[in-house]
Amino acid sequence: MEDTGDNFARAIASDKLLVIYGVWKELRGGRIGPRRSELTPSHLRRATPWAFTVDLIGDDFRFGFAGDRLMQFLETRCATPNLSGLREIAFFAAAEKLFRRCVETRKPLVSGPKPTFYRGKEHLERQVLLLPLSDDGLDVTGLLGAFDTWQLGTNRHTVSPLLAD
Amino acid sequence: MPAIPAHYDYLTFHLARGRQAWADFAAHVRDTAAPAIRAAGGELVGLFQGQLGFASNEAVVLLRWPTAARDRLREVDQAPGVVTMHPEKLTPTVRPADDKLPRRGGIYVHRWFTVDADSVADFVALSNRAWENFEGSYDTEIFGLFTAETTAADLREGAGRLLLLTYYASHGVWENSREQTNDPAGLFVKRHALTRTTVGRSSRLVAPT
Repeated sequence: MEDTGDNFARAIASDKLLVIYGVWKELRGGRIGPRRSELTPSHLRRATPWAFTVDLIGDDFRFGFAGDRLMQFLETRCATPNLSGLREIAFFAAAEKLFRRCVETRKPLVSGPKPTFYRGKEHLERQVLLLPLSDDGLDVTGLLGAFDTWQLGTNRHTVSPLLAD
Repeated sequence: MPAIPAHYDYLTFHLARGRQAWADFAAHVRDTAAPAIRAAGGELVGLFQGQLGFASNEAVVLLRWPTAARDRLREVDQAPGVVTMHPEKLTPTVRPADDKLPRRGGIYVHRWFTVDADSVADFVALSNRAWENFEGSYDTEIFGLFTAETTAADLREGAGRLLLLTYYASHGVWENSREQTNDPAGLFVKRHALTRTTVGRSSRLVAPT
C-alpha cells in the first residue's frame, strides 16, 4: 500500500514520531535520506528518547543509537548487536521484515498502531516509524527509527505498514 | 610562573564499515596503543563511540601529553580498520586539570564552536562563569573546554575554534539542560552571541574504563 506524503504524516499517531519525521524531511532535502552523521541531538531534541538508528552492514542490521524510552521498553540490552542473532524472537523477526521493506523501497514506512508481542509488554500497542539514511546518496546505508507505545486500546489499529510516496 | 598546560590530540577516525572493524580498532587502542602511549609519557584520556551526529564508522580518541612531542601517534593511526585519521591539536583552557579523566557512563557531547579569534578569551570566561550554576542544576559535568590549533582557514577567516566536552547522565538530561542554555538572561545566551557556528554530537565513552 502506498500513499501520498500528507496521508503518510496523518497516519502517524505519535507526536514524537511526527517530530522525527519532520526532522528527517528537513535534513533529507531531495536525497534518499540524510547521512547518519547529520542527525545531531540538536535536531532530534525532545524526541531523542523515542529515536533509534540501525546500520545496514552487508545483509544484516546492526543496532546503533537507542533512545532511553526504547531501552525502557526493551528493559535489557540486546543479547547481540546484530539483528540476525535475534531472529528467533518474534518481535525482532517482525522488526527485520519492516527494516528490509524500508531498505528495499527506500521510502519512509510507518507500522501500527498495533499490539506489540514483545514478551512482557503485551498490554501495550506500538507504532514504529522507519526512515532511510544514506551515507553515499545512492543506497540506503541505515535507518532512523522512532518507536512509541500506548496502553492497548488507545488507538485504532492498522494491520499493514504504510509507505510514503 | 604559570604551569605549562598539557597537550591534547583529538583524533577523529573513519573506520572500515562493520562492527568487526570497530571492535578491532577499540581492542588495538586499549591493548596496544594505550600502553605504548603511556610508556612514552602520554595518556589515553578517552575512546569515544558515536551516538548521534557521528557516522557509524567514526571513532574519536583523545590523548594527553606532557610535552608537545607527539611521536607515538603512529600507534593509533596504524590501528586495524583505519581508513582516515583527522588530527586536531588542542590546548586546555580552564578545564580539564592535567590529571582529570572523564567519568564513566552517561554520554559525552562533543560541541565545537567557531567564534571570532579575538573573542576566544571572552568565550572561555563566560563559559567558566556559566558552568557553576549549570552543573548544580543537572546531572552533568564539564570535562573540558579546549582551543584548537589555528589552521590556515582559521587565519584567513579570523576565526577561533573551541571544543567543549561535556558529560550528561543521558540524552534526556542533555535535552532538559537546554532550558538553561536558552534562558535569555543567562550567560549561555551571551556566549551564544559570540558564536559564529556550533555543532554538538553525542557519544559513549568506551575506554579507559
